[in-house]
Amino acid sequence: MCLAVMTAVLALVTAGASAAGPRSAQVSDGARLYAEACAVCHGDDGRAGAGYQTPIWGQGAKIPRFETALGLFEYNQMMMPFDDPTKLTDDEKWAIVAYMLANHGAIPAEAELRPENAASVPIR
Amino acid sequence: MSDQRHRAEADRLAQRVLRAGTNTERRALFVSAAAFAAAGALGAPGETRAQAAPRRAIVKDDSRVLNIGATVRSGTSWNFTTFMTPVEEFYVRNHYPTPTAEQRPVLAKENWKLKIHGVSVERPIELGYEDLLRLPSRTIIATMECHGNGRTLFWEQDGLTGQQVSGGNWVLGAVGQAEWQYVPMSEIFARVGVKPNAKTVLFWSGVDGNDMGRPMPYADVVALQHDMGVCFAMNGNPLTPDHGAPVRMVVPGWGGTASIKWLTEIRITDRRVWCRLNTRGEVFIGPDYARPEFSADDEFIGVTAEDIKGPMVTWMPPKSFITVPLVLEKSPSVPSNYPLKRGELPRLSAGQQLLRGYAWAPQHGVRSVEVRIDGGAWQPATIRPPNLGKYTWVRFDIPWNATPGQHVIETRTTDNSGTSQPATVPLNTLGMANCAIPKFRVEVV
Repeated sequence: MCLAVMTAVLALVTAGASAAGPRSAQVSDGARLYAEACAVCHGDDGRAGAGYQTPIWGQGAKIPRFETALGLFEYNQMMMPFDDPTKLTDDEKWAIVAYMLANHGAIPAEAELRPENAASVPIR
Repeated sequence: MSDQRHRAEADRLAQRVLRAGTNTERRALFVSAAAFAAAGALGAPGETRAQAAPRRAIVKDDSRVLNIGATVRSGTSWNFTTFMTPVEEFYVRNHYPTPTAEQRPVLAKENWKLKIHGVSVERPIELGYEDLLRLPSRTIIATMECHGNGRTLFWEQDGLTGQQVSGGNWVLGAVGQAEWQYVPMSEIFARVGVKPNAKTVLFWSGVDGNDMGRPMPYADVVALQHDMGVCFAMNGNPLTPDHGAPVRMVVPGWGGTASIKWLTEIRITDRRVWCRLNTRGEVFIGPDYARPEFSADDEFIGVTAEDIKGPMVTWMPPKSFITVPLVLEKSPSVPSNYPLKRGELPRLSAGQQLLRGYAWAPQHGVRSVEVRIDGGAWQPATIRPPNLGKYTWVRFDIPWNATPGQHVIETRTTDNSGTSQPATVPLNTLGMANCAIPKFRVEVV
């Protein structure tokens, strides 16, 4: 019993590099949208792509500088995708941000990000 | 918190970060300031953020320019008709979102300061906006062009890929002509005094990202000292935010990067200076280009000697185009509001046509423009007045009896030194300064 609990805790703690466990609809959408719109520059695993070689989640990522999920969303809302930020809607960008933060370990994979709660989700 | 308190908080944060903050904090300032500004605009506490309008990276109405990315807009060259480019049609090349006085209080005219200093300056000074406007100034009419204008030709005409040549797809419209009002560098030099050991003039923005500055060799500044300077008006009006308000540099004939926007500092030093905009960007990197000389005694700002790969782009070369959109077939991306779909040809009516275009060659001035159809003989085009000297472009036209079917129209400028546009230019990986003869494919119906 004790071992099972410890293993489960370890799994949660080390979930940093990938969205482990069941995904919310939003995070699943985010995964699909990321593959369509982001992977071309940022890589399939967000670590290094043709356009940008710094990881955008997990170890080595600089996203903590946005401080909260809201900060990360605002950056993407204005600046991404690089060639035309108007080609994705705000809802689509929230889904991608949720996917990124699930991969980063900032939110559980089954969570949903909303504008109302995003300012209280820290990125570390 | 009240509206007013939000703004005061944002101002205090901005001042603190600008004075003493780290680069990370300065970048974060974009986002946190946007959040403050948006929250301030809501009024009542407890309202959700989602109702605030998002901050745009470009401030001006961009309905008359081509959307090629978050911080960049190209000119719609196929629509150009005027000698002077209206600000609404002028391309915008930012590396970062336009900083405004709301986010960067130092950009408000009453706060703005230009620090002119350095080891090679006799009498360092700090100018406020009103101080600058009281100095003797000139106006000059000159084109301004992005180094990357015409990069598209590497992809479309040379068949190179986006990995071989990278950068934004400006097509041919990252060029415009304006009247710039500026205090010449000759005036600045006279006021501050320059020591004989001066080697480099560094033009720097303290509010545009954290690495926006470009060094120019002192000898080059001296050669241009009456024609280049500290600029505060464009087409008769104070600079607008996207174009560098309140004060920018203007360096006629060099690529737009030399004309640093949101200028806050001019430093004259006795060493060569290397920073991002003359190492990792805005340089010629390719098999035909030699690595510049450098030494350990040079000044390095945010870069190392390993970043020095090729010579910096200086004078923009002779170029021309007709007011027809270029076919985009092989480019890595097609701008979102481009008038043609990928591979689509523009359609012209059969019968007598007047092909119109623009030509420029700022280093020596335009001598002649020629046009040829389907690889036939080069025919001289008629250059229309005004032609106000080497820094200005000219408009030209040539009649053509267009027969139905597909055709290729090429334009070629020759400048007053006898240099003509070549058929191709050597590969450079950043896609700089492509002045090859453009080929306009059209469908006549």
